Amino acid sequence: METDLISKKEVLEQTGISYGQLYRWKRKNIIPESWFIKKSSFTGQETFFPREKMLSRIDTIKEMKDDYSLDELSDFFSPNPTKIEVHADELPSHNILSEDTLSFCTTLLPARKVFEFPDILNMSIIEKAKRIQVPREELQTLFLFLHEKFTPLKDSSLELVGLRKGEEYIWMLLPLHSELLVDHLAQTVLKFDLQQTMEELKITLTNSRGV
Amino acid sequence: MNTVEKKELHDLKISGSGTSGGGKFDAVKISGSGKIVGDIDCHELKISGSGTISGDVKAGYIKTSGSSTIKGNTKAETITTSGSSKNEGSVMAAEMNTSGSSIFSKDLIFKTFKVSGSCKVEGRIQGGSIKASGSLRVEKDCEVETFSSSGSVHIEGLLNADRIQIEINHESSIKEIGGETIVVKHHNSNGLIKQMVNFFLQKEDYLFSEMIEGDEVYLENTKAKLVRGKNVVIGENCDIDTVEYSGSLDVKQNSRVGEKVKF
Repeated sequence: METDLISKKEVLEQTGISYGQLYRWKRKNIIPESWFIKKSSFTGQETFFPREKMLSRIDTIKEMKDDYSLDELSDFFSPNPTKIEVHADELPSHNILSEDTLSFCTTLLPARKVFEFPDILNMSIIEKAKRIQVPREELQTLFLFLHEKFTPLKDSSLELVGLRKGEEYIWMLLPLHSELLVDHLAQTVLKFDLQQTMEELKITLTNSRGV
Repeated sequence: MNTVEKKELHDLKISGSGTSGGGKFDAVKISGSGKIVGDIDCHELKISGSGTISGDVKAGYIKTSGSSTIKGNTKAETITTSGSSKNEGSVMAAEMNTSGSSIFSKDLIFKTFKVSGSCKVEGRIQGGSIKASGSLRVEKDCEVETFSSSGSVHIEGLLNADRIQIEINHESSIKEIGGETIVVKHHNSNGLIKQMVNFFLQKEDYLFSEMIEGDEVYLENTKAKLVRGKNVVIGENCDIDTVEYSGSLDVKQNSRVGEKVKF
Protein backbone atom coordinates (compact mmCIF):
# COMPACT_ATOMS: atom_id res chain seq x y z
CA MET A 1 0.00 0.00 0.00
CA GLU A 2 2.58 2.51 1.14
CA THR A 3 4.26 3.57 -2.05
CA ASP A 4 6.86 6.20 -1.33
CA LEU A 5 9.42 4.88 1.10
CA ILE A 6 12.70 6.26 2.35
CA SER A 7 15.55 4.17 3.71
CA LYS A 8 16.96 4.69 7.16
CA LYS A 9 20.29 5.73 5.70
CA GLU A 10 18.66 8.38 3.56
CA VAL A 11 16.69 9.71 6.52
CA LEU A 12 19.90 10.24 8.47
CA GLU A 13 21.64 11.83 5.52
CA GLN A 14 18.78 14.18 4.68
CA THR A 15 17.91 15.30 8.17
CA GLY A 16 21.31 15.19 9.80
CA ILE A 17 20.09 13.33 12.86
CA SER A 18 22.27 10.69 14.49
CA TYR A 19 21.66 6.99 15.06
CA GLY A 20 21.37 7.72 18.74
CA GLN A 21 18.58 10.22 18.17
CA LEU A 22 16.68 7.98 15.80
CA TYR A 23 16.79 5.02 18.14
CA ARG A 24 15.97 7.20 21.16
CA TRP A 25 12.92 8.57 19.39
CA LYS A 26 11.86 5.08 18.43
CA ARG A 27 12.20 3.99 22.03
CA LYS A 28 10.09 6.89 23.23
CA ASN A 29 7.43 6.09 20.66
CA ILE A 30 7.83 9.51 19.10
CA ILE A 31 8.29 7.63 15.87
CA PRO A 32 5.72 4.85 15.80
CA GLU A 33 6.84 1.28 15.60
CA SER A 34 4.57 0.72 12.58
CA TRP A 35 6.62 3.17 10.52
CA PHE A 36 9.66 0.93 10.72
CA ILE A 37 9.15 -1.19 7.63
CA LYS A 38 11.59 -4.01 7.15
CA LYS A 39 12.46 -5.04 3.65
CA SER A 40 15.07 -7.40 2.38
CA SER A 41 17.81 -5.82 0.35
CA PHE A 42 21.11 -7.01 -1.04
CA THR A 43 22.87 -6.31 2.25
CA GLY A 44 20.36 -8.41 4.14
CA GLN A 45 17.65 -6.39 5.74
CA GLU A 46 17.04 -2.71 5.49
CA THR A 47 14.58 -0.50 7.33
CA PHE A 48 12.36 1.89 5.42
CA PHE A 49 9.91 4.57 6.49
CA PRO A 50 6.91 6.22 4.87
CA ARG A 51 8.81 9.14 3.31
CA GLU A 52 6.50 12.09 3.81
CA LYS A 53 5.30 11.18 7.27
CA MET A 54 8.80 10.45 8.47
CA LEU A 55 10.40 13.63 7.16
CA SER A 56 7.63 15.87 8.43
CA ARG A 57 7.69 14.10 11.79
CA ILE A 58 11.40 14.70 12.15
CA ASP A 59 10.91 18.36 11.27
CA THR A 60 8.26 18.66 13.95
CA ILE A 61 10.43 16.95 16.53
CA LYS A 62 13.39 19.17 15.71
CA GLU A 63 11.22 22.26 16.07
CA MET A 64 9.69 21.14 19.32
CA LYS A 65 12.59 19.48 21.03
CA ASP A 66 14.06 22.69 22.41
CA ASP A 67 10.83 23.59 24.13
CA TYR A 68 9.69 20.19 25.31
CA SER A 69 11.38 17.25 26.97
CA LEU A 70 11.51 13.89 25.25
CA ASP A 71 8.87 12.54 27.59
CA GLU A 72 6.55 15.41 26.82
CA LEU A 73 7.08 14.81 23.11
CA SER A 74 6.38 11.17 23.67
CA ASP A 75 3.06 12.18 25.20
CA PHE A 76 2.12 14.23 22.14
CA PHE A 77 2.87 11.50 19.70
CA SER A 78 1.93 8.41 21.61
CA PRO A 79 -1.34 6.85 20.57
CA ASN A 80 -2.89 7.39 23.99
CA PRO A 81 -4.43 10.82 24.18
CA THR A 82 -3.26 12.46 27.35
CA LYS A 83 -5.59 13.99 29.84
CA ILE A 84 -6.37 16.89 27.60
CA GLU A 85 -9.53 18.60 28.73
CA VAL A 86 -10.94 21.83 27.45
CA HIS A 87 -13.58 23.86 29.15
CA ALA A 88 -16.62 24.44 26.96
CA ASP A 89 -16.15 28.22 27.13
CA GLU A 90 -12.54 27.97 26.02
CA LEU A 91 -13.09 25.70 23.08
CA PRO A 92 -13.91 28.43 20.53
CA SER A 93 -10.62 30.20 21.32
CA HIS A 94 -8.64 27.26 19.99
CA ASN A 95 -9.92 27.92 16.48
CA ILE A 96 -10.31 24.27 15.66
CA LEU A 97 -14.05 24.14 15.38
CA SER A 98 -16.47 26.49 13.73
CA GLU A 99 -19.37 27.75 15.78
CA ASP A 100 -21.73 25.77 13.61
CA THR A 101 -19.94 22.46 14.14
CA LEU A 102 -19.69 23.07 17.83
CA SER A 103 -23.37 23.69 18.32
CA PHE A 104 -24.25 20.89 15.94
CA CYS A 105 -22.22 18.37 17.90
CA THR A 106 -23.02 19.56 21.39
CA THR A 107 -26.73 19.08 20.79
CA LEU A 108 -26.01 15.44 20.10
CA LEU A 109 -24.06 14.97 23.32
CA PRO A 110 -25.34 15.06 26.86
CA ALA A 111 -24.75 18.55 28.23
CA ARG A 112 -21.30 19.01 29.75
CA LYS A 113 -19.00 21.76 30.83
CA VAL A 114 -15.71 20.14 30.04
CA PHE A 115 -14.84 18.38 26.82
CA GLU A 116 -12.40 15.53 26.88
CA PHE A 117 -10.01 14.73 24.13
CA PRO A 118 -12.12 12.08 22.33
CA ASP A 119 -15.06 14.48 22.06
CA ILE A 120 -12.94 17.24 20.60
CA LEU A 121 -11.35 14.76 18.24
CA ASN A 122 -14.71 13.55 16.96
CA MET A 123 -15.89 17.12 16.51
CA SER A 124 -12.81 18.02 14.54
CA ILE A 125 -13.48 15.06 12.27
CA ILE A 126 -17.00 16.42 11.68
CA GLU A 127 -15.47 19.79 10.89
CA LYS A 128 -13.33 18.15 8.24
CA ALA A 129 -16.19 16.08 6.86
CA LYS A 130 -18.25 19.24 6.50
CA ARG A 131 -15.70 20.66 4.12
CA ILE A 132 -16.38 17.90 1.64
CA GLN A 133 -20.07 18.67 1.80
CA VAL A 134 -21.52 15.70 3.56
CA PRO A 135 -25.23 16.29 4.18
CA ARG A 136 -26.25 17.16 7.72
CA GLU A 137 -28.13 14.03 8.63
CA GLU A 138 -25.18 11.96 7.46
CA LEU A 139 -22.88 14.04 9.64
CA GLN A 140 -25.12 13.21 12.54
CA THR A 141 -24.83 9.51 11.77
CA LEU A 142 -21.08 9.87 11.54
CA PHE A 143 -20.77 11.74 14.80
CA LEU A 144 -22.89 9.29 16.72
CA PHE A 145 -21.03 6.41 15.13
CA LEU A 146 -17.69 7.82 16.24
CA HIS A 147 -19.06 8.67 19.65
CA GLU A 148 -20.21 5.11 20.23
CA LYS A 149 -17.66 3.01 18.42
CA PHE A 150 -14.41 4.91 18.24
CA THR A 151 -12.31 4.76 21.38
CA PRO A 152 -9.08 6.61 20.63
CA LEU A 153 -7.68 5.41 23.93
CA LYS A 154 -7.74 1.83 22.78
CA ASP A 155 -7.57 1.67 19.03
CA SER A 156 -5.24 4.12 17.46
CA SER A 157 -4.21 2.76 14.08
CA LEU A 158 -7.55 3.10 12.44
CA GLU A 159 -8.69 4.78 9.32
CA LEU A 160 -12.07 6.38 8.88
CA VAL A 161 -13.50 5.69 5.46
CA GLY A 162 -16.67 7.15 4.01
CA LEU A 163 -18.36 5.56 1.01
CA ARG A 164 -21.10 7.02 -1.05
CA LYS A 165 -23.42 5.33 -3.45
CA GLY A 166 -26.13 7.54 -4.83
CA GLU A 167 -27.52 9.37 -1.84
CA GLU A 168 -26.39 6.76 0.65
CA TYR A 169 -23.34 7.21 2.85
CA ILE A 170 -21.57 4.46 4.73
CA TRP A 171 -19.01 5.12 7.48
CA MET A 172 -16.40 2.58 8.35
CA LEU A 173 -13.51 2.22 10.75
CA LEU A 174 -10.80 0.07 9.21
CA PRO A 175 -7.30 -0.93 10.22
CA LEU A 176 -4.79 1.54 8.80
CA HIS A 177 -3.73 0.96 5.19
CA SER A 178 -6.12 -1.91 4.64
CA GLU A 179 -7.01 -2.48 1.06
CA LEU A 180 -10.56 -1.64 0.14
CA LEU A 181 -12.21 -2.56 -3.13
CA VAL A 182 -15.64 -1.20 -3.92
CA ASP A 183 -17.96 -1.63 -6.88
CA HIS A 184 -17.84 0.96 -9.61
CA LEU A 185 -21.01 2.74 -8.58
CA ALA A 186 -19.69 3.46 -5.12
CA GLN A 187 -17.27 6.21 -4.39
CA THR A 188 -14.85 6.74 -1.54
CA VAL A 189 -15.59 10.25 -0.36
CA LEU A 190 -13.42 10.43 2.70
CA LYS A 191 -10.35 8.78 4.15
CA PHE A 192 -8.78 9.91 7.42
CA ASP A 193 -5.76 8.46 9.12
CA LEU A 194 -7.11 8.77 12.64
CA GLN A 195 -3.76 8.45 14.33
CA GLN A 196 -2.44 11.35 12.34
CA THR A 197 -5.58 13.40 12.96
CA MET A 198 -5.13 12.70 16.63
CA GLU A 199 -1.52 13.83 16.71
CA GLU A 200 -2.32 16.99 14.82
CA LEU A 201 -5.10 17.86 17.20
CA LYS A 202 -2.95 17.15 20.22
CA ILE A 203 -0.28 19.48 18.97
CA THR A 204 -2.72 22.25 18.06
CA LEU A 205 -4.43 22.02 21.41
CA THR A 206 -1.16 22.16 23.28
CA ASN A 207 0.31 24.93 21.19
CA SER A 208 -2.70 27.18 21.30
CA ARG A 209 -2.94 26.76 25.04
CA GLY A 210 -0.81 29.79 25.68
CA VAL A 211 2.69 28.52 24.97
CA MET B 1 -14.29 11.23 61.86
CA ASN B 2 -12.33 9.09 59.50
CA THR B 3 -11.71 6.27 61.89
CA VAL B 4 -14.20 4.05 60.14
CA GLU B 5 -12.16 4.32 56.97
CA LYS B 6 -8.98 3.46 58.79
CA LYS B 7 -9.41 -0.25 58.74
CA GLU B 8 -6.19 -1.99 59.36
CA LEU B 9 -5.04 -4.49 56.81
CA HIS B 10 -4.43 -8.02 57.95
CA ASP B 11 -1.62 -10.36 57.13
CA LEU B 12 -1.98 -13.58 55.23
CA LYS B 13 0.34 -16.38 56.24
CA ILE B 14 0.45 -19.77 54.68
CA SER B 15 2.92 -22.15 56.19
CA GLY B 16 2.49 -25.81 55.56
CA SER B 17 0.06 -26.31 52.82
CA GLY B 18 -2.80 -23.97 52.25
CA THR B 19 -5.03 -22.16 49.85
CA SER B 20 -6.40 -18.65 49.93
CA GLY B 21 -8.74 -16.72 47.74
CA GLY B 22 -6.63 -13.58 47.63
CA GLY B 23 -7.65 -10.07 48.56
CA LYS B 24 -6.14 -7.00 50.19
CA PHE B 25 -3.48 -7.53 52.82
CA ASP B 26 -0.62 -5.86 54.58
CA ALA B 27 1.86 -8.72 54.25
CA VAL B 28 1.48 -12.05 52.51
CA LYS B 29 3.87 -14.83 53.43
CA ILE B 30 3.97 -18.26 51.90
CA SER B 31 6.53 -20.56 53.39
CA GLY B 32 5.27 -24.04 52.68
CA SER B 33 3.30 -24.83 49.66
CA GLY B 34 0.67 -22.22 49.11
CA LYS B 35 -1.86 -21.46 46.50
CA ILE B 36 -3.67 -18.21 46.07
CA VAL B 37 -6.62 -18.39 43.79
CA GLY B 38 -7.41 -14.80 42.94
CA ASP B 39 -5.87 -11.35 42.88
CA ILE B 40 -3.62 -9.97 45.57
CA ASP B 41 -3.07 -6.40 46.63
CA CYS B 42 -0.55 -6.06 49.43
CA HIS B 43 2.42 -4.14 50.77
CA GLU B 44 4.70 -7.08 50.92
CA LEU B 45 4.68 -10.52 49.34
CA LYS B 46 7.19 -13.14 50.40
CA ILE B 47 7.33 -16.63 48.99
CA SER B 48 9.96 -18.94 50.32
CA GLY B 49 8.54 -22.37 49.61
CA SER B 50 6.51 -23.09 46.61
CA GLY B 51 3.82 -20.59 45.81
CA THR B 52 1.33 -20.20 43.04
CA ILE B 53 -0.81 -17.16 42.52
CA SER B 54 -3.36 -17.49 39.81
CA GLY B 55 -4.50 -13.86 39.69
CA ASP B 56 -2.90 -10.43 39.36
CA VAL B 57 -0.48 -9.16 41.96
CA LYS B 58 -0.08 -5.58 43.09
CA ALA B 59 2.53 -5.12 45.76
CA GLY B 60 5.04 -2.72 47.19
CA TYR B 61 7.70 -5.33 47.65
CA ILE B 62 7.93 -8.88 46.35
CA LYS B 63 10.56 -11.36 47.43
CA THR B 64 10.61 -14.94 46.30
CA SER B 65 13.26 -17.45 47.09
CA GLY B 66 11.70 -20.83 46.48
CA SER B 67 9.76 -21.67 43.46
CA SER B 68 7.00 -19.29 42.56
CA THR B 69 4.50 -18.89 39.78
CA ILE B 70 2.37 -15.85 39.16
CA LYS B 71 -0.19 -16.38 36.46
CA GLY B 72 -1.64 -12.89 36.26
CA ASN B 73 -0.01 -9.52 35.70
CA THR B 74 2.37 -8.19 38.31
CA LYS B 75 2.95 -4.61 39.40
CA ALA B 76 5.39 -3.81 42.16
CA GLU B 77 7.90 -1.27 43.39
CA THR B 78 10.63 -3.80 44.03
CA ILE B 79 10.88 -7.43 42.98
CA THR B 80 13.68 -9.69 44.14
CA THR B 81 13.76 -13.32 43.12
CA SER B 82 16.45 -15.77 43.93
CA GLY B 83 14.94 -19.19 43.34
CA SER B 84 13.07 -20.22 40.34
CA SER B 85 10.29 -17.88 39.35
CA LYS B 86 7.81 -17.84 36.58
CA ASN B 87 5.62 -14.94 35.53
CA GLU B 88 2.97 -15.81 33.04
CA GLY B 89 1.57 -12.30 32.83
CA SER B 90 3.29 -9.00 32.18
CA VAL B 91 5.56 -7.59 34.88
CA MET B 92 6.05 -3.95 35.77
CA ALA B 93 8.46 -2.89 38.48
CA ALA B 94 10.63 0.05 39.43
CA GLU B 95 13.43 -2.17 40.61
CA MET B 96 13.97 -5.78 39.58
CA ASN B 97 16.61 -8.22 40.76
CA THR B 98 16.75 -11.82 39.67
CA SER B 99 19.52 -14.14 40.64
CA GLY B 100 18.05 -17.59 40.18
CA SER B 101 16.28 -18.76 37.16
CA SER B 102 13.39 -16.68 35.97
CA ILE B 103 10.98 -16.86 33.11
CA PHE B 104 8.74 -14.04 31.92
CA SER B 105 6.14 -15.15 29.43
CA LYS B 106 5.00 -11.64 28.53
CA ASP B 107 6.48 -8.16 28.55
CA LEU B 108 8.80 -6.89 31.23
CA ILE B 109 8.90 -3.18 32.11
CA PHE B 110 11.19 -1.65 34.76
CA LYS B 111 13.43 1.23 35.75
CA THR B 112 16.40 -0.87 36.76
CA PHE B 113 16.98 -4.56 36.26
CA LYS B 114 19.82 -6.70 37.57
CA VAL B 115 20.15 -10.23 36.25
CA SER B 116 22.73 -12.54 37.62
CA GLY B 117 21.20 -15.95 37.06
CA SER B 118 19.45 -17.13 34.01
CA CYS B 119 16.59 -15.10 32.70
CA LYS B 120 14.32 -15.71 29.80
CA VAL B 121 11.84 -13.15 28.52
CA GLU B 122 9.37 -14.33 25.94
CA GLY B 123 7.92 -10.88 25.37
CA ARG B 124 9.68 -7.56 25.04
CA ILE B 125 11.75 -5.60 27.50
CA GLN B 126 11.31 -1.90 28.09
CA GLY B 127 12.96 0.18 30.72
CA GLY B 128 15.75 2.24 32.14
CA SER B 129 18.85 0.17 32.68
CA ILE B 130 19.82 -3.49 32.56
CA LYS B 131 22.85 -5.04 34.12
CA ALA B 132 23.15 -8.67 33.17
CA SER B 133 25.90 -10.92 34.33
CA GLY B 134 24.38 -14.35 33.85
CA SER B 135 22.48 -15.49 30.88
CA LEU B 136 19.81 -13.33 29.36
CA ARG B 137 17.54 -14.46 26.58
CA VAL B 138 14.93 -12.19 25.02
CA GLU B 139 12.63 -13.34 22.27
CA LYS B 140 11.49 -9.90 21.14
CA ASP B 141 12.92 -6.37 21.28
CA CYS B 142 14.86 -5.03 24.21
CA GLU B 143 14.57 -1.25 24.49
CA VAL B 144 16.29 0.44 27.42
CA GLU B 145 18.35 3.52 28.21
CA THR B 146 21.53 1.67 29.14
CA PHE B 147 22.46 -1.93 28.59
CA SER B 148 25.44 -3.69 30.03
CA SER B 149 26.14 -7.39 30.06
CA SER B 150 28.99 -9.69 30.81
CA GLY B 151 27.57 -13.18 30.45
CA SER B 152 25.79 -14.65 27.53
CA VAL B 153 23.09 -12.68 25.80
CA HIS B 154 20.68 -13.78 23.13
CA ILE B 155 18.22 -11.27 21.77
CA GLU B 156 16.11 -12.30 18.86
CA GLY B 157 14.82 -8.81 18.12
CA LEU B 158 16.35 -5.37 18.31
CA LEU B 159 18.55 -4.20 21.15
CA ASN B 160 18.01 -0.47 21.37
CA ALA B 161 19.73 1.65 24.02
CA ASP B 162 21.65 4.89 24.32
CA ARG B 163 24.67 3.18 25.79
CA ILE B 164 25.40 -0.44 25.07
CA GLN B 165 28.30 -2.22 26.72
CA ILE B 166 28.72 -5.91 26.05
CA GLU B 167 31.52 -7.99 27.44
CA ILE B 168 31.84 -11.19 25.50
CA ASN B 169 32.78 -14.26 27.46
CA HIS B 170 30.27 -16.69 26.06
CA GLU B 171 28.78 -17.13 22.69
CA SER B 172 26.11 -14.48 22.25
CA SER B 173 23.77 -13.37 19.53
CA ILE B 174 21.76 -10.21 19.01
CA LYS B 175 19.87 -9.87 15.80
CA GLU B 176 20.05 -6.10 15.55
CA ILE B 177 21.75 -3.47 17.68
CA GLY B 178 21.02 0.23 17.52
CA GLY B 179 22.04 3.09 19.73
CA GLU B 180 24.39 5.93 20.39
CA THR B 181 27.49 4.32 21.88
CA ILE B 182 28.08 0.63 21.31
CA VAL B 183 31.05 -1.11 22.86
CA VAL B 184 31.64 -4.84 22.50
CA LYS B 185 34.74 -6.14 24.27
CA HIS B 186 36.20 -9.56 24.71
CA HIS B 187 36.72 -10.69 28.25
CA ASN B 188 40.10 -12.38 28.28
CA SER B 189 39.83 -15.43 30.42
CA ASN B 190 42.31 -18.17 29.83
CA GLY B 191 40.48 -20.68 31.96
CA LEU B 192 41.38 -24.14 30.76
CA ILE B 193 38.03 -25.58 31.71
CA LYS B 194 36.23 -22.98 29.73
CA GLN B 195 38.38 -23.63 26.70
CA MET B 196 37.60 -27.33 27.01
CA VAL B 197 33.89 -26.73 27.32
CA ASN B 198 33.95 -24.43 24.35
CA PHE B 199 35.93 -26.99 22.39
CA PHE B 200 33.46 -29.78 23.10
CA LEU B 201 30.40 -27.66 22.54
CA GLN B 202 31.96 -26.30 19.37
CA LYS B 203 31.32 -22.80 20.57
CA GLU B 204 33.46 -19.75 20.39
CA ASP B 205 33.36 -16.47 22.21
CA TYR B 206 31.76 -14.35 19.56
CA LEU B 207 28.89 -11.99 19.30
CA PHE B 208 26.82 -12.76 16.23
CA SER B 209 24.71 -10.00 14.78
CA GLU B 210 23.09 -9.06 11.52
CA MET B 211 23.29 -5.34 11.92
CA ILE B 212 24.95 -2.94 14.30
CA GLU B 213 24.18 0.77 14.03
CA GLY B 214 25.46 3.50 16.30
CA ASP B 215 27.22 6.82 16.39
CA GLU B 216 30.30 5.53 18.17
CA VAL B 217 30.98 1.85 17.62
CA TYR B 218 33.81 -0.23 19.06
CA LEU B 219 33.83 -3.98 18.38
CA GLU B 220 35.89 -6.98 19.38
CA ASN B 221 35.12 -10.66 18.75
CA THR B 222 32.12 -9.80 16.65
CA LYS B 223 30.78 -11.43 13.53
CA ALA B 224 28.29 -9.21 11.75
CA LYS B 225 26.88 -8.67 8.31
CA LEU B 226 26.61 -4.92 8.47
CA VAL B 227 28.06 -2.29 10.77
CA ARG B 228 27.05 1.31 10.34
CA GLY B 229 28.16 4.31 12.26
CA LYS B 230 29.81 7.64 12.45
CA ASN B 231 33.08 6.62 14.06
CA VAL B 232 33.77 2.92 13.88
CA VAL B 233 36.61 0.94 15.40
CA ILE B 234 36.87 -2.71 14.42
CA GLY B 235 39.06 -4.28 17.09
CA GLU B 236 40.54 -7.76 17.35
CA ASN B 237 38.89 -10.95 16.08
CA CYS B 238 36.10 -9.46 14.05
CA ASP B 239 34.56 -10.65 10.85
CA ILE B 240 32.36 -8.01 9.29
CA ASP B 241 30.93 -8.21 5.79
CA THR B 242 30.30 -4.51 5.30
CA VAL B 243 31.17 -1.40 7.28
CA GLU B 244 29.51 1.88 6.36
CA TYR B 245 30.73 4.99 8.14
CA SER B 246 30.48 8.73 7.84
CA GLY B 247 33.33 9.83 10.11
CA SER B 248 36.31 7.60 10.75
CA LEU B 249 37.08 3.91 10.45
CA ASP B 250 39.89 2.07 12.17
CA VAL B 251 40.42 -1.63 11.52
CA LYS B 252 42.87 -3.50 13.76
CA GLN B 253 44.87 -6.57 12.77
CA ASN B 254 43.33 -10.03 13.07
CA SER B 255 40.08 -8.70 11.74
CA ARG B 256 38.41 -8.99 8.40
CA VAL B 257 36.22 -6.34 6.86
CA GLY B 258 34.75 -7.32 3.50
CA GLU B 259 33.72 -3.95 2.22
CA LYS B 260 34.31 -0.44 3.52
CA VAL B 261 31.95 2.27 2.37
CA LYS B 262 32.29 5.89 3.35
CA PHE B 263 29.25 8.09 2.88
